[in-house]
Amino acid sequence: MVLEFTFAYQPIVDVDKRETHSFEALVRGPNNEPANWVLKQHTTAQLRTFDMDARLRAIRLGAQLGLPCHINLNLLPDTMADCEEKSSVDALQTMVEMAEQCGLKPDQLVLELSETETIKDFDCFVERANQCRRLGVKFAIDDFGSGYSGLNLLAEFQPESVKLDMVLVRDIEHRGPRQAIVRGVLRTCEDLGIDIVAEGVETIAEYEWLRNEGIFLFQGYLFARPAFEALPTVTFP
Amino acid sequence: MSNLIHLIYNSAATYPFTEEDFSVMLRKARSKNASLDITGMLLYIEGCFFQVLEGPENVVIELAETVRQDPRHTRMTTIIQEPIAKRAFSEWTMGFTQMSLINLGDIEGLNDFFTICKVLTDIDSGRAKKLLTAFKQGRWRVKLSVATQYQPLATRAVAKKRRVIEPRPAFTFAFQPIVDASRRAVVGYEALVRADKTGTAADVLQRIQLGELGAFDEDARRMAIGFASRLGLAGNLHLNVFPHSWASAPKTIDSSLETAKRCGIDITRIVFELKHEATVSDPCAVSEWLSESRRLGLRINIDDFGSGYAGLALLDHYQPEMISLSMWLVRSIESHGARQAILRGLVQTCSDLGVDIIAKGVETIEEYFWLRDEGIELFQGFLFAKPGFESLPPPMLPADIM
Ligand SMILES: Cc1cc2nc3c(=O)[nH]c(=O)nc-3n(C[C@H](O)[C@H](O)[C@H](O)COP(=O)(O)O)c2cc1C
Repeated sequence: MVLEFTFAYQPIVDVDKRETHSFEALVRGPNNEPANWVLKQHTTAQLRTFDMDARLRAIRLGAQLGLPCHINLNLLPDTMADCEEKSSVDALQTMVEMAEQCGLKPDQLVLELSETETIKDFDCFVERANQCRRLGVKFAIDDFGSGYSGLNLLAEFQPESVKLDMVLVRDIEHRGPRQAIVRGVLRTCEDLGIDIVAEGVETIAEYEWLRNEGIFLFQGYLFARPAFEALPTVTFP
Repeated sequence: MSNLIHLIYNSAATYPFTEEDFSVMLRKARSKNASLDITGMLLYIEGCFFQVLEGPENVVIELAETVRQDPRHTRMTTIIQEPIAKRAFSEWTMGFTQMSLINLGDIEGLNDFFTICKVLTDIDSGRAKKLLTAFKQGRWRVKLSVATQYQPLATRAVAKKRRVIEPRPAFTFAFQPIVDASRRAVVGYEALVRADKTGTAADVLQRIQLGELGAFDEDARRMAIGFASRLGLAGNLHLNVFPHSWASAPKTIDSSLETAKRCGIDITRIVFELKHEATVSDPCAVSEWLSESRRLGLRINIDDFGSGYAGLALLDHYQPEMISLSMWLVRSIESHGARQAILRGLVQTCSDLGVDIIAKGVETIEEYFWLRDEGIELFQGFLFAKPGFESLPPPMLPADIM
């Protein structure tokens, strides 16, 4: 079963440098149907293959569009960390080779794993992740602060960046507990040399609060909506 | 190709280093590093070391082990150890910087140090640079506390024990003290259900059918209150609430309240300990329950914080009076950089929210000192006292200087 899918790209911006830091590739249906529409059409068994395939396609399309910076790609950790399955090593190798063929360097690739995703074989995951890192590939924890065992994960695996869940970002300028949580996360990440990306930023007030706390990487409608098969331009506040 | 990693650690010098001490150490280290193909850098400021070692994986790990044994420093904490694609300090067999002098120059105390190095190149914006920046801002500096003695706590805070006379039911309780290190006092006891003197809570819980859990839970709390009162408990009483009892929550409060009143224990001395499973099963019920408890003056502790759903998001929904740290966070924290960073973040968040932190399951003096230095005041664990069977055991408290 080969289902048609494609990608929209949404920038992650560096407001200090006033430049686009990365584009996150978001899976879409052929007529810009949302990610869930695409995912729903795959059985759990098919998801693995889909996951690997999707990254290759996202890289290829990104390169065709002239991607000048990093590219953030979603990752189902279990696709990568199935130590029984030799193909999971090959898949990563293939991904890096593909990127190079398309003229991208491995250190332009950022793999995002969701905090809400549980990792079945953690040791295996770390081993594989480290193989990727040796090639220069970077990691990010997505949806941080929202899900299950995020702190646990961070204690055992320190990615290059952490993406603050949009639930924590929403209305942060007048939500004390969220502010306290974000300050704590900032403290932890600074101590570990991890960058923070604020996701889902929609208003100037959210932006200003986060900016004031020292966050400089942002993603959200305020800067640019995801663009269907295109790399959108950014509005800087 | 060998597997490149970097290992970044900090440590505390066992004595103040002079320039002479450094050059002796560095001469040797540099030539050894060159022969081992190790690069990196070392900073020293006011008794704290901060070092980046990069090179082939097994060589770095082996060298770090040698360094760890070095009596010239102690409390070596690995902040991060991870693979890298390329070296940040390739020109240097342990030089002092690849950051610009301007970047580092304003770390006071290092000036002597920098005059040794002649070549400066730019470091890329990797992890090493970020950690250096954190160090520059005063993070990751360990110093030695002086006292490591151990002595029993003055008995003033511990109530005298009375005899208990009553037919023995199927279960009973052990009590473990919670101590406030800054006040050097016992603030309360947690009641732990037991089948007999040697058993654990699990022995009792296994025998209970799922359908009976709510009723058991309620009975257990009433019994614990009665027990504690007969033992002459003076401080707070921490009572466990099991996840299945949410449905009967209002009744639970009522019956505990009534027993407490009868036993002469003020409701404000009771702390309900929630397991994290409880906090997700029905968030609405929990919120309601919490408001109701608060109105009555009961306090809530979220147990096992940092595991499962008892994470940061929970503090966004409601703010308990206190949280207990998960054991995994406490265990060997003195030598685990990532746990330390997480704890510092939590301390920041909780102090902003006015949530107290209890370090539970503290077993070693090193764990204790580390946590104490970060401002944690409330402790529970074998280091202070094992749970006392049907008694309120007095804790031991390390004689640290306040
Ligand atoms: C803070 C600190 C950092 C050190 N860094 C290094 C280093 O980078 N390379 C090194 O060879 N020795 C370093 N040493 C010294 C080692 O502990 C050890 O004395 C040295 O490797 C010589 O060991 P050997 O005589 O057994 O070969 C360091 C010592 C301290 C206290």
